[in-house]
Amino acid sequence: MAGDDLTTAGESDWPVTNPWPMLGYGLAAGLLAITVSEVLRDNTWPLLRVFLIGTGLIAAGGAVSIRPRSFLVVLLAALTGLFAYLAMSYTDWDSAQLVVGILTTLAFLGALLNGVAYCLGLLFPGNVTKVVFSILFSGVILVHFGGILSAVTSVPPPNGPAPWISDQLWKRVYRPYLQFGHLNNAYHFYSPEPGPPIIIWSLIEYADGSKRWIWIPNRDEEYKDYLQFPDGSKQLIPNSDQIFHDKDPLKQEWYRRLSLTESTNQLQALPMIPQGILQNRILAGRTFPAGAIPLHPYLAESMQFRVPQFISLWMVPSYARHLARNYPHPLDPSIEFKSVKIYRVIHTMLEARQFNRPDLTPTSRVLYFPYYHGEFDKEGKMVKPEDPFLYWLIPIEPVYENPSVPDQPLRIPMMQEPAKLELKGYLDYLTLHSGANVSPWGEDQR
Amino acid sequence: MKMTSPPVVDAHENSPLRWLRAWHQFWFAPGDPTTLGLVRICLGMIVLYVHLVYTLDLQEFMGEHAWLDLKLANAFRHDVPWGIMPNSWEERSTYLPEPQDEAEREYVNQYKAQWGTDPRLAYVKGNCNWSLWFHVTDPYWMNVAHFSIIGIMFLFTIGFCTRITSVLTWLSALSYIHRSPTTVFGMDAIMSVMLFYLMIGPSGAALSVDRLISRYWLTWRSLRRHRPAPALRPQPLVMANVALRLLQVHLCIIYFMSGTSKLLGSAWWNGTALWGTLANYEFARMDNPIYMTTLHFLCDNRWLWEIVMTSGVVFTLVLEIGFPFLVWNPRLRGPMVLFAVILHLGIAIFMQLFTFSLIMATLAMSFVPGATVRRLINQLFRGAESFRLSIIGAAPRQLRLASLVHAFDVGEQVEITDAADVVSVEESHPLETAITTKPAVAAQKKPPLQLIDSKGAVFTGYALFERTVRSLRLLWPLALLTWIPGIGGLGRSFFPERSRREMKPARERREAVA
Repeated sequence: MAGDDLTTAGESDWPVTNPWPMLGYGLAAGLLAITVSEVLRDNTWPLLRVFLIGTGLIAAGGAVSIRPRSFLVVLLAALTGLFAYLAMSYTDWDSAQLVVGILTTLAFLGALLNGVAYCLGLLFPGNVTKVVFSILFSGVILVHFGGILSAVTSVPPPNGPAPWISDQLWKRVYRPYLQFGHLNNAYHFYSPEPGPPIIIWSLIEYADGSKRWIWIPNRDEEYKDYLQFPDGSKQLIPNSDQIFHDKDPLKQEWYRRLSLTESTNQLQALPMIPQGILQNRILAGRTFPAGAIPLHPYLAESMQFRVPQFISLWMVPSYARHLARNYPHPLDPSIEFKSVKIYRVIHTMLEARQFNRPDLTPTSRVLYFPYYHGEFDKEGKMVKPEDPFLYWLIPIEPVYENPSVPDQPLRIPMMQEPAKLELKGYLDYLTLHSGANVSPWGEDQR
Repeated sequence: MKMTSPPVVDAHENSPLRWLRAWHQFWFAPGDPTTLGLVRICLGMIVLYVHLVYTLDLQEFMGEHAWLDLKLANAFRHDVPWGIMPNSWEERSTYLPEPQDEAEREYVNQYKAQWGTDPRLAYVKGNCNWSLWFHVTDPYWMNVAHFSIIGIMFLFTIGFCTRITSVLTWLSALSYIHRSPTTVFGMDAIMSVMLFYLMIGPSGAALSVDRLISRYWLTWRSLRRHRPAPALRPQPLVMANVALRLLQVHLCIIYFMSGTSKLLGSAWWNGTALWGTLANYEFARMDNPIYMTTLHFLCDNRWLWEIVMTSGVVFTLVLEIGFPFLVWNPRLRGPMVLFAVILHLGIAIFMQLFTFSLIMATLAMSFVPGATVRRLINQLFRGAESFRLSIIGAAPRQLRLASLVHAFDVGEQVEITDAADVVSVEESHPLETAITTKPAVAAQKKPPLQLIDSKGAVFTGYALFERTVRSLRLLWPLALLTWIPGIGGLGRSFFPERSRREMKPARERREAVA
């Protein structure tokens, strides 16, 4: 509206010009909300409180929008905010109180500024008020962008720590402001490298011993979703929600799910694998009951043991709890959930030189690198915290045709395979490790 | 593409003062709010879509037992530790002796088990996150709140009570982001920034329902005082310029950081980074046969592959790193904005990041001058015909109707004249601006509201309504009603056209009476 322009004076161009009825309602609603709060002193009658607080604040906001430069209007609107803040005292609406508290503080500051502007206007006619406020707002702009710059520069580069000054500024000064307004993104889009996507494979086991793979997310339109039984048989699940279809035309939900899985990929930088952990893994691989599970033959050991940071570590149990609650037995929901094994999977990409090979496609099994994140019960508690395979890569190893001796396939690193050798198959240690009858792709275990 | 030209800064002026004036002109010169209005509409549509889509998975992402369940979300916002680099050269010890107090010892051990660090070593614990969804967890009330929020976002998009709905939209959007931080991506970061700036600026001052209401109100006030209908261009506003500058500067920061951080990666240096997006199965259109054929063709020709990939990488880096510097040059502004749109079009086509691309393109729109936007809108909304709307200034109903027509007449096709005017064209003084009326004449039988087209055809009653809504493009949605069979007949029966005798000009009737 033209009324908020510093250079315009005169009549408002909006039909509603009187802020006082709205302000009156806001104050009354706020006082009533405090009264209700003091009388009840607990969390009851939330609807009434929400109505009074919500409508009171909106009315106060409306009054301010009509006369934003009035000291009294803004002051009384701030008072409404204070009433709303106090009215939430005996509730557990702590984050709502935080928001109202911040907005109320800003309103009081706004009233103060209006008062200062008025006094300056009286004492110093001319442009003095404008100059003072230009300086003030310039300061606010500089402080704001200082915060943005502290956020974008406080991300550490790949091989070193973050700048000390950025770290201090971000954490000591700007963190609350930037987190409050979700302004703390560093905008490092596809940098330093565009990395491979992360997906999650979960193998749910039910109380009757049946199992089911769940992909997060799954873009296969021809996915075979099987329920696997302890006797080795399997049954296709009718109307499976694992069959991919776009939930929305702009793929918003798809990317939300990719972000979900990417959140598990924040990894600790370990200088080396603790000796005991490596030995335990090797031993466990040799003595695994269903068959030996070696280390991946072509990746460095340090790349095969990736421990997530604590934030990522805690997300996986939450995902396990969600799976337990939202994926009941597909044929008989009364059969209880027993446990879920979760694998964080890196889906690597074909290089350009491999892209036209007839034996490789973007979904070739050997391009998937699953890392075991543990088995969880329905409360998200890890069933076996000392599992020697925890956070280790479970290999899906490529095997090549041997032109000299066809019965003896060659095991060669993918990066080094000569162009003329054909991929014969793969050794699926993941399905072996999981204990499933079929692989995540619905194929029989090999 | 020209920006509205500020007063020229005197080159001979003292250097510090010159810089201060330039700063002041950059940030605090009044700016056209039209661009801000366009940004609001585009952003509003994206925000509306994003939150409508949340309907499909509200419980999965925001519910008590969401992927990031409420228990863990609360633990993050209350307890997650933040370390800080020591503020001296001495390395801080990561070992602290166990507390003496048993309760404190138990707390420390529990905290270590959960977060991997001693709480006494944390600089601060918790996040400043807040959300409606931390407190509303019942699925029924979540749906009520969610759809109320959708309604608010719709009102923000169309620009109704924008001062309030912009704040509520910002609060609502952040509620979703803060509750489910594991599902947010780049689009959400940009959305929160843009909503923040649109909340600060008068985003409803142009291209909005608020503006329509104020146009109506200003016209009605003017006509009531027997003044001509005012020209209704949006006034330049200081806060509009501030908001636009905030958007522009922030976009520059985004591009600069995005571009320079890419230089840390070898793939961007050796020109293969683009392949990392094109061959990414979860992102790219690898289910599309044409896309796959194209990739196969490229991979068959190494020279072609290298040229395409390297060109894409160079284009991206030059645009992102160069944009913050080159876009301020008026001659280069248009091309830079165009290249930015092309970049995001490519991201949308090849990586299917549609909402992210749309929101970045919307942000880039902040550089389009208001005059350009108004010219485009004029071309879009100005119909071919011109009309004259003849009213009786003393008739309140006609005043209201004329004000309504004038409010929607963004193409300035309709001229409003007072039919009770007894001062003939030959007699009127050329400088006369007020239209005089003679109440005695006006008190006689009032001619109806008349719409007269350029050929002299006169429309009244329902025919006036039909002609108006079909001619003013902003009213075309209403015009659809007039095409419904039977509506015309119904309208004519309730609002018949007046007879020719009734429509005679006032002077003719006066002579007839005499």
